[in-house]
Amino acid sequence: MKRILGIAQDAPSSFVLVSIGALYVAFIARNSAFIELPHQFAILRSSIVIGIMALGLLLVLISGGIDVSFTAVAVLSMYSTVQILNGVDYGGPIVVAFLIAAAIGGLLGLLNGALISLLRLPTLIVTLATLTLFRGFMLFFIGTDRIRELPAQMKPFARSTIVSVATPNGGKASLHVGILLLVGLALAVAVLLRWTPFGRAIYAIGGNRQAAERAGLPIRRVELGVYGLAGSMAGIAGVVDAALIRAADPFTIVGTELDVLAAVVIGGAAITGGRGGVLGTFLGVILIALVDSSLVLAGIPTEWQKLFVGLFILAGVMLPALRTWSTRTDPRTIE
Amino acid sequence: MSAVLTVAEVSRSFGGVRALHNVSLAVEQGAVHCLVGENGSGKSTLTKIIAGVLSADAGTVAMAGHEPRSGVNPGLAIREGISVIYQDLALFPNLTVAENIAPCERTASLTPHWRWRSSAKRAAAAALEELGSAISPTTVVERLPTAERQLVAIARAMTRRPRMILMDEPTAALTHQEIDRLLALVRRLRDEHSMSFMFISHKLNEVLELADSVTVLRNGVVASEGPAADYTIERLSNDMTGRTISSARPTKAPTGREPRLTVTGLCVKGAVEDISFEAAEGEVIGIGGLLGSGRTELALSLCGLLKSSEGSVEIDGVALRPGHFQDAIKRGIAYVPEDRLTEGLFLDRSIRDNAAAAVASEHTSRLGALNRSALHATAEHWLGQLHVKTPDYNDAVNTLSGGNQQRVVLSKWLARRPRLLILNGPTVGVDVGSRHDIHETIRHLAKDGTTVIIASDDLPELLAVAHRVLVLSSGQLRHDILTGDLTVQALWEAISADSALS
Repeated sequence: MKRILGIAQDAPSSFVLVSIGALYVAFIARNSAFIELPHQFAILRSSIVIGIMALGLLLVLISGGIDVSFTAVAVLSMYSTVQILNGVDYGGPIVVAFLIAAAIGGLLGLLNGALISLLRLPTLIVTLATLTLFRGFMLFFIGTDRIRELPAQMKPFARSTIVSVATPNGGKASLHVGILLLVGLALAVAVLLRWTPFGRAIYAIGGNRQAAERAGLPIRRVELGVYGLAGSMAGIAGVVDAALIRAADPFTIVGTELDVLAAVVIGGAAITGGRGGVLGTFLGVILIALVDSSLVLAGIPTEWQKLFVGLFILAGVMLPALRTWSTRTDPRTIE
Repeated sequence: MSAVLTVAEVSRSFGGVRALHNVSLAVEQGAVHCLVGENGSGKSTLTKIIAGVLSADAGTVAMAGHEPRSGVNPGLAIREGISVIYQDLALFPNLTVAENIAPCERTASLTPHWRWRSSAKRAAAAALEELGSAISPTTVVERLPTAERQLVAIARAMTRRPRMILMDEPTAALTHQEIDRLLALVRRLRDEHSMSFMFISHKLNEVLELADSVTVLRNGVVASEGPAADYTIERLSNDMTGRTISSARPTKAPTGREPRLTVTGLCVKGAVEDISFEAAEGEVIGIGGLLGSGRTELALSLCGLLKSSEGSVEIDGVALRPGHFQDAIKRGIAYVPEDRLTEGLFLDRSIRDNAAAAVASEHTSRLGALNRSALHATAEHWLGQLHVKTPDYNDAVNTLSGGNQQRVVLSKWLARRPRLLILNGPTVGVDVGSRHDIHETIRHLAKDGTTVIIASDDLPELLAVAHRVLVLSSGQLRHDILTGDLTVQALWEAISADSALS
């Protein structure tokens, strides 16, 4: 139990928790329908895709890098997977779709990792370039059409639910099974980060890269692993997204890079590396999903969404800084 | 005795600049070998080659019982039994003490290991106990003070069961007491565990106190070597610099001059209490005191970087606005900080730009255009005056060695022709040659009428340049001593006696 609490201490989660609580109070005050199950389930459902991508991005941020190409990786992996499976007229279990997408995403991620690690190029520049590259490659070589005919087993997945509750007005509120996938991956990443030498090596490299080099850590292998995993996560997220919207849309997901980045940063991951945790990221994702899906219900125009997300990011990164300022004595008085 | 480490005729150049040429040395089993040399003499390059993070162009490094090597392979050096403690300690600030100490090999191999965390914690606790330290293994390293971080680095080195530990300037950031403790620890490990050490330091008295044998590097070649018993401080500094460095004394104190600086009842909350003194034109005043005595705070409040709560600072009879650095600059005060790297220099910019930084406004026309050639001429004049050694003033400042960087900081402020120059630890981390030149510059400035205030914990330095030393303790002015015939011993007694009382 103490170990599980230990995860909570990793991240400055209190700000996110307080924000989520405050939003709930505000939304309920404006529209009591907000608290009802259909809407709560919808929030969780909309956090699945962002959440899976956020887990991958979390690894990259902790290692001291940044990745903006994961949306392109997600769409390219998803779209290729659907094409491949449709091509062979596949009717088996959906796990194969996840595996193929994870493999394609992993390869694309390894390409990122190789460019960054072997050529020692700045991560933002590399992934900005590959974002456009992957996108262009897909639209030019693979296709631009929205595919409505998904492989047979993706449709049942789209309809699978964990629980289904009848609502008073005769409808049905269902919690999508994809949330289990998110929780499962989150636990896996948490274990990876906290209890494996690979995970601690990611923190070490993000905390002091030079020291990691001198200590003989295999920085290249770790970085390749990190970007490969981030790519695989993006691939899986892409397939989940296709199943949820019941189509392979080449224009989905793209454009959500900054929302995902915001979720991870609000969740306490440092853009400078070495800091961040799964629980914080998870809460950050919930906060972003809450803002994205609930402002309308609360009668706030959608145009305000970005403004809110921006304010939360600002507050989220300012609070830890303010705390440091208040506890720190004047640096000039320290000899 | 047999040699643990043998360095044989190692050479290394960087882009045509020779850093090391035919350097050979041997470290004996169970002995402390000190490596000394000026900034830029090749010490760091040699360290990196021994640690396997840099390759040698020619020559080899060999640990007893292993093949000689010359390539890049830090992991191999560690496996052969070399542990390097770098000046910046190379710790992971975001990880716990246990994670910093214990699992380097395991993390490096990336092998999953059940109960890895608790075994790491146990190993770390054992290593720290062996060093006689009570640091908790679960503390995050960034919360520890410098001296304790150093212990963590040493504990980490120890867990690898090394045969030799290489320490690069381990005492630079430590107080006197912490240094004593560190040296005692090194001796204990040497005597009880027959561990070998290679020790790099600028503090020559420390070197003589600790070393069994010494190698002196100068311009990338071995200037001299031998048992430590054959060396004195004078011989060390002569061998390092290739010239005779005499322990100079300040020029005669000026008499009958007007006071330039008048400090009356100056207080800084929590640091300095009710300090009054005067400094005349051309006078050099030292501020001495232990860490936490208020010496840095006093220096900072004189130039407005720290806001005084009471009292006044007057320059030529006109009071300064407290806590207002810009006003102090306008009134002719210059402040050269202790930490030149973070406070004094734009590291990526050129040497010339750095030297010109403080006088840019003087060379600006009424329309706001910069007169570049005049600006550069001023900068270069002062860089020349201070003998900044560089092939090209366009090179970035971070290509210079520490001593030369400190001279660039000085040039920057001297270009303003200050009336009052305040220096804080002007020769921290600077080699004897540069130190000598900087002291010489201070004496010249004083002779030309500049008033100089110098805060330092380096007592020979205070005696070498200051006419008077103000001794602070617990933020109060305890003594105002003329340095005339004062010895280091007497000054040290004055400084430490009061702190024992308080």
